[in-house]
Amino acid sequence: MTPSSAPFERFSHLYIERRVLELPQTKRIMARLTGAQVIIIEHYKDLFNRRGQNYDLQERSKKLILAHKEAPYMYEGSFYSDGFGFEHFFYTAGMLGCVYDCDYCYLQGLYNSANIVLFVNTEDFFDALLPYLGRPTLVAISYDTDTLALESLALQSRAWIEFARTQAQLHLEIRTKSANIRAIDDLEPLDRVVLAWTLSPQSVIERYEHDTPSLAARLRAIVRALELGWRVRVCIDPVLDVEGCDALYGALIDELFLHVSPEALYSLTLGTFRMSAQHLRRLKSLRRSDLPFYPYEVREGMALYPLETEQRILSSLHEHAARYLEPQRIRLWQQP
Amino acid sequence: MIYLIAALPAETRPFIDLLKATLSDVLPFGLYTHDTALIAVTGSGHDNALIATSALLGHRPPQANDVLVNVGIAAAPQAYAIGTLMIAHKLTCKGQHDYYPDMLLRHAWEECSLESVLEPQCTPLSHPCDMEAHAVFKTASRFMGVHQMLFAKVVSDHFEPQRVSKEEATVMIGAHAQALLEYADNLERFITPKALFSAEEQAAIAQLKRGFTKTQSHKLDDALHRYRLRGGGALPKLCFEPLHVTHKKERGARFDAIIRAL
Repeated sequence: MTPSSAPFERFSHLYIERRVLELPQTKRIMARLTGAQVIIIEHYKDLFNRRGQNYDLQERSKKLILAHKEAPYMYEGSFYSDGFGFEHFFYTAGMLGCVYDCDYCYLQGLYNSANIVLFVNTEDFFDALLPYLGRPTLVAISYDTDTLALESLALQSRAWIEFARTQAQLHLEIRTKSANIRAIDDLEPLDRVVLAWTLSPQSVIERYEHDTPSLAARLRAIVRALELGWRVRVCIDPVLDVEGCDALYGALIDELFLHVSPEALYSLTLGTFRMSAQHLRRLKSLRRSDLPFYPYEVREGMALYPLETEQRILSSLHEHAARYLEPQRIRLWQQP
Repeated sequence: MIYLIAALPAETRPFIDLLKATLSDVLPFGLYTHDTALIAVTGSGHDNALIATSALLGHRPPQANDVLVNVGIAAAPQAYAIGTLMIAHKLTCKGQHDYYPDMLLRHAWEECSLESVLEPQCTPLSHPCDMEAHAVFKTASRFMGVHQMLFAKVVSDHFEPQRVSKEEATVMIGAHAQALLEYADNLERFITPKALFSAEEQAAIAQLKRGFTKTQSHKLDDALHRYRLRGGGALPKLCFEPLHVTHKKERGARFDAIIRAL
């Protein structure tokens, strides 16, 4: 036998908490991953939070962990993200980790592991939210992850959309880079659900957004979602200060509106790279990309582009976007 | 470096022969050395494994690209044929935490959950068992990452330990020794961090940093990493020129020039 020098493929190993072993969601996923080695564990933290893990190596062979989430199920909207004016703005963590591997992602600084934890007790998240649903409430369900990217396996976006259908005050944002609109194309669109695609120029995707769909594939998914009647937001966020940044991202806006009618788009969000200084330090220690080594400014614990650079980028892109959209449909992320 | 750890001399014999490793007397247990491997005979059972692994890794602390292979024989249910090589993806021991070595590199062997027991197991269990793996992991995880460890056990019996002779153990492990060493080599290569700077560059950078302030050194580090990770080729000549400054203005000018060049 000649030993291999290649890593295992993604999800070659399926770790399952004993207490979720008999849940239908678990059984369905096990049936989908028939080739995986199944390993029973007591608690996902025994695996996910272990000492001595190597994020970079695990990225090359991600494992899936099926687990039961305990409270809290909802978190107050973060300082780093836009609550779109909702008084109640929460995000959930139905998954920890992401199938994609973006060099600018704070998850590398947040977790010890590049593996993915998928919580299979989605109903408990819904129950936790019910007390808040007397008033308009926004929940970002794809905040610490990309739920649509794993939708074929997890069915989490679908479950949330169906839940939102029964709750008149519940608004959802499903942020994604996935082209997998097919996974939900049989669902009746809902006005209170916004599908939000993150777009980047193709050269940035190739360099910094590993394992993600191409720009063309994302644009096709956006066009399809609009045809189906979904509300679509486009997020050009984070904008990276790469060489020729203004022209590159300007061309991206042109490319977007070459495929998408401005009237059809719900909104456009623009934001430059930002990250907590603490997470940035961890990203630097991984030495995986040049991005963390940019000479950022740290303002109130947040690493950002120097104010002048940030303003130059945002005003240039805002001006460019304003050729297509009225100002109230363009949102800028800027440090409050 | 590969750390090969086994309980019995019979289990290490195939590796000692293959590598032509030589006996060393620096530690109070069997230790054989080779340019690329250290082979330790711990003695059987939890305590011996704990003590010997700790002594070995303390004696020669592992580097980021080193690999530990705990190899040996194990009892297993009838479903596992005698002579089968199993890689453990979970290590248990009654009343203690479970451990999970990272399973990164593809292999074609069986995988199993391995229970470490306190004495030779005569009562059949539903899964394979040995007497050392849990203790080896427990100790080694203080010295190295979970991706650096491999637990490879060969099925010697179906819970009839009295039927396994030393000679049989050597033959059974010998059948897999070459492949295991190759796998450990591959794992070593797989986990070796890519060096961003050559030894010559590192020396030049260290020299430069001695002339700069702490803040300048941090900024220089960032600029160098950014340059190299963006695919930058040879470092600018300025980085290799000796820094002889008599005034902080001069130092600042040199620093600015290097940052600009990067």
